[in-house]
Amino acid sequence: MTPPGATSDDGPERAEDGPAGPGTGADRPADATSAGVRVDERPTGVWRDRWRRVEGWFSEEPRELDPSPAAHELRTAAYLSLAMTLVIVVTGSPSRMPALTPLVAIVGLLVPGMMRNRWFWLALFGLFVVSPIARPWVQLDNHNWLQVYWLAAIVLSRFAIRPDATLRVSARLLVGFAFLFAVAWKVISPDFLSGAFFDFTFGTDRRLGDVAATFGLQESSLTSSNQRQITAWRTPGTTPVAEAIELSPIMVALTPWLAWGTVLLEGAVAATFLAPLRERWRWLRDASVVLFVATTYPLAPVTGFGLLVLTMSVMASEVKPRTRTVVYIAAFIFVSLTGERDTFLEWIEPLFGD
Amino acid sequence: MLHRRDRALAWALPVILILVALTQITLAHTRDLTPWKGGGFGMFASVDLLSYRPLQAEFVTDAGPIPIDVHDFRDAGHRARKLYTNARGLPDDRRLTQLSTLMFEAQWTVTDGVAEFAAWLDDTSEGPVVHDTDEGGALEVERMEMEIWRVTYERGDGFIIPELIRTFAIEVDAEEPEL
Repeated sequence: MTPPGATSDDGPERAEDGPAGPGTGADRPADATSAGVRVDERPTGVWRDRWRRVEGWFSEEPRELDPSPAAHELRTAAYLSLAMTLVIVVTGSPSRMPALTPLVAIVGLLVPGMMRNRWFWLALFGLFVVSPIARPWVQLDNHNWLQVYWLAAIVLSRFAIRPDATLRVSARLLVGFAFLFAVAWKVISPDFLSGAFFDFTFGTDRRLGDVAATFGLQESSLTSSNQRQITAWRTPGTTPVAEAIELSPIMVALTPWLAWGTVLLEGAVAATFLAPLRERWRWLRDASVVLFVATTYPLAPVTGFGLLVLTMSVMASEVKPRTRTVVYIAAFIFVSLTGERDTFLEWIEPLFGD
Repeated sequence: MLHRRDRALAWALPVILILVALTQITLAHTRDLTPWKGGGFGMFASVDLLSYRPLQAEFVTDAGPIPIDVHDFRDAGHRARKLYTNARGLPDDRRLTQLSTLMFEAQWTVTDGVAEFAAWLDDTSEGPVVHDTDEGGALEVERMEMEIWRVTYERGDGFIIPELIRTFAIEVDAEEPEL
């Protein structure tokens, strides 16, 4: 839940991330508290001065950070979100991304204050954007577009009067509209709400078919045999003709429920992120995103999109900093691990097999 | 509340997202852009996947139509793969012409009645050059024809049904010198 002091949907009123300008911050007490809230979690002791000296070279945060709970809440969200963004850049490595890009991102993670520097983000964006621009837009996946939007939003926010509050609004809107269009496509598509899309996909896409096969809901060889029928349409000189594909009756019974469940869940994410919720209801944004991630990614391990949605959602999140950190890091690791899902399915398959 | 400038900065990328997504939805419904690509968030909403869009092509020659292995042609290089994928993702005149032009810059061999990519031509004004290894000798190509299909699926009967979304024909320039 939002801590007392967080006010508008755009973030706290105070200039907690106010005018840019380097400062050492060396004279500020570490671990100072205000109304019982820890406001400075940076290193203490001998290393404190060294850390802050380096941080002061790069960070554009004001010398004196606003110690209010609302400012602290916003600042920690930004740190976590920006760090997660850099982790995605380091580990994601889209094709044809300059080799320098992950190295620059690592510098951002390791050098104190670098994450708070607008020129660092501008340079990283310039390097990162080479990869999607090199590919025709017709071939780009959703997460490629969203990655570019998100990095561009970070860059723009660094030029704002209140960078973190500005980025929070961008994050909330980007997640909200991405899910709104995802739901719109599912509603206008002739295939989706009837369950036809999931019938087809469980019958032809190994990523989903393997999950159903693991739980004994369909034959494991079904997707590959159906896929062969479709790819046979590529044979030179062939005129494609209608073919019957093999489907599992159990899955055919389940897929309309799955379709409506998907629309409701994605609709919930869109609604909670776009609606001007009262402060006490904003935790619904986190709940809907976490539920989406927990139910979607074991089935469809499209980790690039999942990690990015979490990274933006953590910026938009207004729950207590400690809760937020634990939940989102756990969710981030969970989505990353779904990339290794096949190994897990192999382990549990004997439990459900014949 | 954010300062007016900050609000503009915060909304800039969401507005671009909205414009791109609306454009993608429009193109998907008017020009057969695959719903899965193009920034409209249509992945996992339709069975019309780009990878399931077959492209059939044939050279119309003096010896009759010769089917082309276009799927294999995409391995002829980065540009071939790019144009082959583009032409299926958004099969408009421009993208199909680009793919055709590239195919005309190649030398093809006909084996078992199918034209397969053999090599790139040094002099692209020659092309396309088609050698018939079955019958021997070169074939004179008059034009190339293409068809792009997509998969549809009707719930209930369990049939996947191909739908022809685009046909395209391009003449080989008659003024080019014959070799």
